[in-house]
Amino acid sequence: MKKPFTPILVSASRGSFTAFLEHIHPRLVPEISTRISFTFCLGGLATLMFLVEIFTGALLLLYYYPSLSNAYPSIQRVTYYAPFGFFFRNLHYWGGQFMVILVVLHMVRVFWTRSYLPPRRFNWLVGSILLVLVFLVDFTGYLLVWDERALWAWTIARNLTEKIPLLGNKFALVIFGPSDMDDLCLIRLYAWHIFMLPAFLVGLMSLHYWKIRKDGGIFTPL
Amino acid sequence: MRSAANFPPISLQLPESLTTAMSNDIPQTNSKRSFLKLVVLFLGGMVGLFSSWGIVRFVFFGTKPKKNRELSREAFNSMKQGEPAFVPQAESWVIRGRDLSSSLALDDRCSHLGCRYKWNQEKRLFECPCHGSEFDIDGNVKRGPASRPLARLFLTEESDQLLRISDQPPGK
Repeated sequence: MKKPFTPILVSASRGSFTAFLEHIHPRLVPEISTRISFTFCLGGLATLMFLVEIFTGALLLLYYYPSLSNAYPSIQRVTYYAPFGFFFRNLHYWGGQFMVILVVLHMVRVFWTRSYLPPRRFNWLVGSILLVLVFLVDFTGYLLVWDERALWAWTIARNLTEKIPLLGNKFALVIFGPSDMDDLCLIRLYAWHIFMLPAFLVGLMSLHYWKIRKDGGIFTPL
Repeated sequence: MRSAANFPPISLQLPESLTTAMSNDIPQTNSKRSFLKLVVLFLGGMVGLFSSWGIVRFVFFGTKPKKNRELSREAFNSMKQGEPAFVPQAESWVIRGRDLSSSLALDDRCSHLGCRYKWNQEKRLFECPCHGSEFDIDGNVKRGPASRPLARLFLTEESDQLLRISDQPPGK
């Protein structure tokens, strides 16, 4: 005879899920810091944009073709032919632009409220690195379209990198790949854009959030 | 330098209205709250359903196998020049010209939302029964809502007996 189904696992998982949510949320939230004008939620919004980028980026991965002759046509195809492709591509594009804007505004807010002072000096440093990484991930995405603008942006960026004294040429090889332009250059940018830079971002973002809590949340007096 | 003394003490007192609402005196079943919960769940579910429908359509784009469109030389020769002829097995309309290179084939689906269109001999236009789009004999849009011309196909020689209809121009 069949045993009747007891939903014990469901309720257990529900309990652990709420426990997880409560765990990532601060135990106490001071009343004053619930005002929106306290931080304007700029860091949280930048994180939201990052999640949007991951989601739409994963969808765009299905149709992007990282080669010099196929990159641009593949983007045209996904934008104008794939169902809802225009929506996911625009969401990815504008999400990226807004992420840069929000991260810069977040930095301005932190500077304005003097939140870079001790005990938050280390987190200010982590945030500065995150800012550079966000610029880089945005820039590599701009290059992956491989239209005329991307081609010249690539040329300028490569020349600038090569002008760094002593190690410039080595840096350029690591970042941009072989100097004669071929498919490998685009594949290298693609790897930076979809894996390495986001991986660094996720790692440093985790450190950033952990340090916020360690340094006393968003409210502890300076 | 700001100090801890300048800040008001942390208040954890909940407003009275909230504590009343949270108390167990109010029955939770069949209440307004459970109804609202149901409405929110329903609306959220609908939004989730529609978004996943969009995502599924996006993911499956271009995964259909390509149509194998063929036409026998005999059938082609029996067509009248400048008159569209429907070729059901190739799912396309063929408009025979003087020779093969000046002939044209059109995919039999409307470029608007994919209905099968028909040839109107009196108006000499292709008419879509679904939304009334009209196209001329070359597949160009004469009347909306379609905005793109019909998908043009090319006729190429496969063998002495067989012609192939493909979206690649001959020689490619």
